[in-house]
Amino acid sequence: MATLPTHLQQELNDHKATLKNFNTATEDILQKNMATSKSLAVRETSAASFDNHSALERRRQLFMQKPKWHASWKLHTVINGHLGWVRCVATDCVSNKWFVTGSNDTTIKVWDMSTNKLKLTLAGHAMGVRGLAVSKRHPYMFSASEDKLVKCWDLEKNAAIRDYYGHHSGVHTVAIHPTLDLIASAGRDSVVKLWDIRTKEAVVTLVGHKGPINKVYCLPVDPQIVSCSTDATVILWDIIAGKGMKTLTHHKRNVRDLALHPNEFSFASACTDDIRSWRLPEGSLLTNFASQETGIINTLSINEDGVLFAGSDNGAMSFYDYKSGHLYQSTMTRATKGSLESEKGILTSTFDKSGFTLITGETDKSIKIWKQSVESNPTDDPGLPWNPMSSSQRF
Amino acid sequence: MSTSHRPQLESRSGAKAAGYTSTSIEHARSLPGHKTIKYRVTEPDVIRSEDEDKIMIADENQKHKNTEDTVKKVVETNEQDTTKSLIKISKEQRAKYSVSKPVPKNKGWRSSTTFSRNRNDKSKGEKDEYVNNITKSSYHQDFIRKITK
Repeated sequence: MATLPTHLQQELNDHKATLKNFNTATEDILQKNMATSKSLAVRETSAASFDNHSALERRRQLFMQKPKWHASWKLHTVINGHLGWVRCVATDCVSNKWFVTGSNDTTIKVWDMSTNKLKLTLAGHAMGVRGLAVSKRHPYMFSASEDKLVKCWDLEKNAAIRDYYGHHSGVHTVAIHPTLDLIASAGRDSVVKLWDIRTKEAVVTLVGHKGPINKVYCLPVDPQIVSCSTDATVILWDIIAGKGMKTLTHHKRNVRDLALHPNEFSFASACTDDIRSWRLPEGSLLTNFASQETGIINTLSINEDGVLFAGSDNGAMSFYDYKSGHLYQSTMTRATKGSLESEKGILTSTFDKSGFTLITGETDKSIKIWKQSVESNPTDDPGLPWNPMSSSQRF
Repeated sequence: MSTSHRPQLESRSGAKAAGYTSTSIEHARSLPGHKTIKYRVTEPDVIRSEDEDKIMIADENQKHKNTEDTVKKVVETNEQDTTKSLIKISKEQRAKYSVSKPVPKNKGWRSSTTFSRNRNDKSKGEKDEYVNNITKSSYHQDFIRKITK
């Protein structure tokens, strides 16, 4: 019990009264055990082991940690504007007034957050745009594309001002370092490159992944780079030594996405039917999410309220409570009229700065905006039942 | 156009070229340009620093008086200012979004009958509906109608 986190301990204390019957039952079993064992020492050890390691006790503890209630999400707006898959989306992290999407039709489009009207179309890439990042410290936006380039866009001029040239193949993702003037990009050539924003120089090349890299994130403290790859690994990088600090090999398949928690120093990663969250900086397993039968998961995003969204390749949307790993809402997207059977999948997602709006980019070329319903409450809309598996626990 | 769209068993790895040493070749794209880096000047930070300055000045002036009172005053005046501005903004927004009640049009009795033209006009609703298929879009349909005869 001493190893339980504080919030769980509190929950336990709150529910002690309701559990009296259960406790007396377990005590009975214990006494029977004691009666059979003869020496006192043996008795003590058996009691201790029963307390911590018995399946019954663990299951009881799991039921104890009631997940936090979250309001359900509903489709708010559908925006049709792109002529190809919407591969990446990013919000204006400073004023929260606009968001930006990149598409397979090679364009980047800027949309107004409140009116959902098109503000600007940026053309400059020769192939599909795969990654976008808006800087908090600079008036810059960075885009990664399959044409091997990372571009730096000046948001005051609305023009591309710098190209970062050096990847051998398509670039899948770009991230901005929160404190240094560096960006990290990675893609099909299975290396993470760190670029100096000003001089366009590749400062460090991080070698270690064996397959194309799907996502890169930058953190202000070590590990400063986190990346996930098709070789089913997540690597936490030490950029000073220029090599991997830790490799997470829990996943069995292509790890398609990572998401950082906005407040907690932890992140989540997803492969087919498997979402896990990890404690930083050491990279130890935190939670197994109840993500069986979710299918291929393309995208993850987490908001400040502790909602984890997972968007699947078949259009399934799953909303989880981040702390307990509880799936509380599961829906499907609505494909736009006239789209094919295959054109129903979520490719990318992000929460806005407030966390109350979810923006998804989909294979039916549309951008969908989802909002939490205001009038729902825990009694009328309790969400899916909390039935934890023994594998889905917070460590 | 790169070859990154082409199917390959294994794409070219960047790891092999990581130890590559640069040559004397200079590419036009790598020539220096945009030599300065821009930083954002965020408004909240500026306001905060001004507030701090005010409080600092007040502190310096109040060697003989009670400093806490003045700080409180400064904070109160600031709060008043902000509330005033908030009220102003909300009023403006209300003015912007308040829509005057639509005056009911004086319709003829014909429009309310069962078989009126307005009710049975089928082409009305379907005109600008988006279809996720370029060949089914109204633009393309019109184009085809013009071209094929």
